[in-house]
Amino acid sequence: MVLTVPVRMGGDRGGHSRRTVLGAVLAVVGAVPLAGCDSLRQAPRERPAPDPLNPFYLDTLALARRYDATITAVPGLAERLGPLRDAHHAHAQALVREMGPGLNQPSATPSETAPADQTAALAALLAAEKEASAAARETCLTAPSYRAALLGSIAAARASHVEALS
Amino acid sequence: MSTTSGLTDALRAEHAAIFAYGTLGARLDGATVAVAEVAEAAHRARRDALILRLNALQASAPPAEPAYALPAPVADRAAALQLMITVEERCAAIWRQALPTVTGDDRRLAVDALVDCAVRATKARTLAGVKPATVPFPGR
Repeated sequence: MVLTVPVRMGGDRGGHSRRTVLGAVLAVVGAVPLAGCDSLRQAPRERPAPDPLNPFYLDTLALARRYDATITAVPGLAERLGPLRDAHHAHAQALVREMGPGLNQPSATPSETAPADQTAALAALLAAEKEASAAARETCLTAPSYRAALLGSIAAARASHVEALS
Repeated sequence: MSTTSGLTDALRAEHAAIFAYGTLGARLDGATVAVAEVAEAAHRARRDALILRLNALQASAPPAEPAYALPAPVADRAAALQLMITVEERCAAIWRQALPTVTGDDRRLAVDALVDCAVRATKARTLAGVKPATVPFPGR
């Protein structure tokens, strides 16, 4: 609600009061995503198989499973790592939806391992997140426009995980 | 949405963010004020980069408004941190919207800005004691 709707105050009498100005700015900005989404939905999508996002999807799945393995190995980290793990699984699901029929679902999924020591486990995840965030950024930079927002959000989420693990 | 409008919206958001940081800094204490100062400097740098870029595109770069309405009074540290979270989330959303409209160096600018907003939002949530300190899809 905050910063998203114009604030109406009894003392305002129209014109460029402080409140209407910010309200207008953010109201305009808030209207943008709807228009953007519509244009994206209508954009023609040509998806030659195999979809180039497949390797990125496999890396995302591996990262999610690495968290699963870590939480299994160090249950005390479950509360702290749970939201980060869930985010990676959500990214993987979003990538599945994005690729649609272009997805090559792996027939066998390699299991991930994790250190049993808490400090070592966190350090390993931190290093993995740094690498993964940079990879998502690079993928975003070269992606077609209709995938840029999703990949940008994934890069941003991974970078925020680095912050949360640091 | 065109490249120009995506970047123009981002510039308006950066102007508003800089205003917000100017207000909330007074309510923070030692460790948190340092975080806010770094954040404000980053928003200023993004603003400057956007103005240069829009000028290069021969597009109009909107100036900052004289003042902005804050969503809530910034009476104390908690309110200041909440405002920081809100500002970073809103800026992340606007940069995310810009991403599909831009390519090349502009794409780089936008994704780096989105990443930085998400990291700062996480810092602010951590300082505010908000759990979880992360969101799955920053800017969405």
